[in-house]
Amino acid sequence: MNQAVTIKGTKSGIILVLDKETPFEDIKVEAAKRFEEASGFLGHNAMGLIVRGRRLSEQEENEIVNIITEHSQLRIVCVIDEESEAKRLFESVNSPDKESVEENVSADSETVEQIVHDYSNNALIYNGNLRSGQDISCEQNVVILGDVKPGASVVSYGSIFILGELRGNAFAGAGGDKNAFVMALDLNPLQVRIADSIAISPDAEKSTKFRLRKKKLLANADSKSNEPEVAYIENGHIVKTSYGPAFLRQLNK
Amino acid sequence: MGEVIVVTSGKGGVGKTTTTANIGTGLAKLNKKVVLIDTDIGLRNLDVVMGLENRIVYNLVDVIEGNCKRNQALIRDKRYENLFLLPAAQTKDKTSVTPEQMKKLTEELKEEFDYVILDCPAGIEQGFKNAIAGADRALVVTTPEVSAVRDADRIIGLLEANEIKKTHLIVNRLRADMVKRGDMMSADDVIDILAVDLIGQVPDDESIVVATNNGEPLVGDSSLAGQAYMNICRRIEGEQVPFLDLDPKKGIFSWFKKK
Repeated sequence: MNQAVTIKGTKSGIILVLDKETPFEDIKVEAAKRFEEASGFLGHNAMGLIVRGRRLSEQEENEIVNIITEHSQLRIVCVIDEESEAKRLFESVNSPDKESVEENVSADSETVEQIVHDYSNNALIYNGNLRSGQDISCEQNVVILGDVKPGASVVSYGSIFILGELRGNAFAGAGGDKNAFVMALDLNPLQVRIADSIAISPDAEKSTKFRLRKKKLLANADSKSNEPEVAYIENGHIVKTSYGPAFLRQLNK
Repeated sequence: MGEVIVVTSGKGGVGKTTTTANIGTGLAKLNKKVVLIDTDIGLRNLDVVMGLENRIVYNLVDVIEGNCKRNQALIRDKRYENLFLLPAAQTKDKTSVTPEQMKKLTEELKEEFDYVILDCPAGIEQGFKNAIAGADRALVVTTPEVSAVRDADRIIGLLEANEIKKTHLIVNRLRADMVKRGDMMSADDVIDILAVDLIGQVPDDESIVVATNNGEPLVGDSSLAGQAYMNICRRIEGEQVPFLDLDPKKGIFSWFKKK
């Protein structure tokens, strides 16, 4: 069922999704009802408001803010105009000669997270191995042409790509970006953190590890099993899969 | 009110970290509440020997600098729930902590724990000074080699100068067959040179290497080294325990007899 008004909460603010077709008067009634219901859950915080799904005039915007303050204990400190913000970001990232129509279309449907993603659309490239005690931490994506050994760590606001073996720690999306991921040719870390989730390596197989590793070396490293792997967040948990077509389809959706 | 024990040696590679892990685990086995602190900032490895390296989120320097709460950085052991580890930072160096800060930290921790055991780095510089700052008691680890004994002597002198009166000696990696042949100093020979009380002698045992690589301290198991470490724990607790006979032949024989 398509609801006229949907409320979504994020850390910094609430997202209000409004139906395009419904008349504004109905929206106002519906919004009042929704905020009345949700007021206990939302508490009395100062929050930003993001409106999606339909463009509001300044007057309509004010009316909505009034409805919210009347029917809940929320204090709306600012209204974020996502569209113009997105446009500004896109214009700063993309060169102006690109089709502006396409930009507008994508800006319309992009989420806030996506904007954060685009902001980090460049990468730091590190040549060499990261050994125990060495660490890289930066806001961009990170590409490492080498191994990350146990005791070394990589921290990035964006994603981390290790063209080598990851056996140390990696922390992607350190700024809270849940879409960030960690990719490595051999993903065998002590710890992977993405946004506020954390995954640790299993303990149990420790004693067999040495033998296994030896075996691997002896078996001349059959390249078939050495598929690149990737760790990302799915349903709030960090999962690891091979970095193949299935993952890429999901990523580019 | 707990006791702060520093495990130190001067020379590297004599078994401070292994001893710390085993004594900590042993005391936890005796139902004591124990926290192990790795003070070897920049070269941490107590976490590996304990098999807890994958759980580290915060470390000693984070606690000192106030980046996290103390209890957030304490890692609970996977075998004993009254055993905790405060790991060292790997990306910093010894100068990120001062003796005063360590003293304050150990004093807070001993309110809460029965034993606070510090794994000291090799050397006599800042790291050593940090580790001994709050200690009530020291365990000096040495091997029966002239170089290790020489360093242990220096360390004992420094401990005395810092007014740590309760100092005991652990002689590690003893080989009964070599001692018998007269090719190695016995624990008694070492004590004669160093003039401190012995609290334990630990044999050179292959099972220690295996246990260390697996991240599972062997204290308390049937191996000779496991028994030796357990005895040290009981002596720390104040019990009178006779020293083990480290002769491996006799050891194996009695092991068969037990079975």
